[in-house]
Amino acid sequence: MSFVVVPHPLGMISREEVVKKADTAFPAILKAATAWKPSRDTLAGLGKAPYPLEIIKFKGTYQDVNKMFYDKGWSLGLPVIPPTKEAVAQMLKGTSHKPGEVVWDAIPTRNGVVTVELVAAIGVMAGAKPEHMPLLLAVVEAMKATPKAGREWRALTTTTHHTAPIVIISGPIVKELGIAYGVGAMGPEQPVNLAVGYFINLLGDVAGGSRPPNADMTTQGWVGNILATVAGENADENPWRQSWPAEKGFKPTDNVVIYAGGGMPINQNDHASVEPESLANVMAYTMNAVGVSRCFGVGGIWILGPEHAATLASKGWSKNDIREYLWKTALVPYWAQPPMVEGKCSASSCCPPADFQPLTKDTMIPVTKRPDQIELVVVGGPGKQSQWWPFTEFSPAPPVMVKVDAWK
Amino acid sequence: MNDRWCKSFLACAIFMAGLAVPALSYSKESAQEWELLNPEGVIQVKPMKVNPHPATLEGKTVVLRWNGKHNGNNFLNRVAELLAEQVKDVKIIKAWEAFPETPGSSSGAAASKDFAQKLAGLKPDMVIASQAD
Repeated sequence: MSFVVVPHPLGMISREEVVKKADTAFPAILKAATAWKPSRDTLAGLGKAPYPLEIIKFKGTYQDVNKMFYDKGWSLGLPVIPPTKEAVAQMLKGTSHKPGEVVWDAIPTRNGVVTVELVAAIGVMAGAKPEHMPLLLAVVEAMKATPKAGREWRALTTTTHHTAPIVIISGPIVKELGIAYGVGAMGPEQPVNLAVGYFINLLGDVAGGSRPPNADMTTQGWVGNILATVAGENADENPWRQSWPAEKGFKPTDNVVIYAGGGMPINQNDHASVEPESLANVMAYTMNAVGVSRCFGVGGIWILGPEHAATLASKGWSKNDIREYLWKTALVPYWAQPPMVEGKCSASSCCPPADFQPLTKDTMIPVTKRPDQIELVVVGGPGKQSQWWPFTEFSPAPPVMVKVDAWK
Repeated sequence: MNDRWCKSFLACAIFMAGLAVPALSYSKESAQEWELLNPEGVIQVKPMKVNPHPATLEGKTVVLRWNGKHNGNNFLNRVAELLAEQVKDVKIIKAWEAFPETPGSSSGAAASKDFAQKLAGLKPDMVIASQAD
């Protein structure tokens, strides 16, 4: 397709400035409409078998390998572990699935074919170990199994919005593999969590090839686009005892990867509330960040610190009680929401459903359409901190849950 | 005394040289041969064949498609004015007016295909669409 690039901004400028930009771009638009021809009609290497992966012979130091990978767009700027034949062969021992098995036939935006072998190669690069292979394969399955069949990755990775996947792992595998779930779980010195988070973006940006032309087109950039957030569910300190996947019908003994997209997270550090209602009020108003939490939006995840979770559960409140309370309390007046554009719903406008009318500027608007769109999970250690991760309209919502054990 | 001084100096020099040798070897990593797997993976989705662009828009039907982002419609409205001024007998259809119920940004592959078919039903010779923010 032919493109004409109009320099930013176009949104939020005056009509006169828009006309001026259109006048400047018009000759190029006319030329593109009539004189453009495709520069190629086929792709090099199209039709090659996805397995085995091409072997590249290279001579150099470890630093030279990393420079080569970076120059080719095969890394995101952090060092990678070179995916040697030997390292990948070792990695493949972590699963009984054949290396040539196709896990995802077209990861957007480049539509790369993801085989078990490719997962192993990128897993090596990210610092994962053979015993992590079932986890990595389950993550890929989850990325693919979203409501829009994996196309959410394209939106997550090409938007100007600071958003990225978040993965929560639940079940006995958390302790078996040493996945961090307590204090600092989503921070440094958590090798398994960090390897999986790095794997997600390497897979998506290298095999998925989302480079339009940079791997991160978010306005200010976000570290989540290098290292996706990964944590284990803190089952030990979950006052409701039932795990997040068990709420959705999984067995307590199932090992489950939960894949969602959201962010940036908003911290909530209420050190004063001793009653669930008081804490829930603070949580509700944290959710009212209209810059990210859309009106009648698709929901989000509360990553609850254990101490906040204990306070919420202290008077017998169930998770559903909390959801209902938050949904009824997290309300923002219509005048504070992103407006319609010339009377029309634009991409970020607050556009309540037709049956919610009549609207006035003071009409109170809920953050999500329904209470069950507010997810709750306990992660973390000591401290009065929790995080709200709002979903966007292109997040995989509701989050996808897949079993890990099928990939062993 | 000279002899003792010489021996001390020599011992010192040998000691210092001994310290330097490992430092010299650490300062230069040797190049090695690597066999690395290409992490990109192959593509098997065939590229879409795009219709050739017309040599001129005179007498043609041009559909303008707005993605719903702010001022995209105003930009395309101006494009429509300029086309009408400069291109003889051009017919302009604004998709957001022809199909007002269709959201600007597609919600997925199925919705994209559905909308593409609606646009095709207008029998355009050219579609000019606003993209991105």
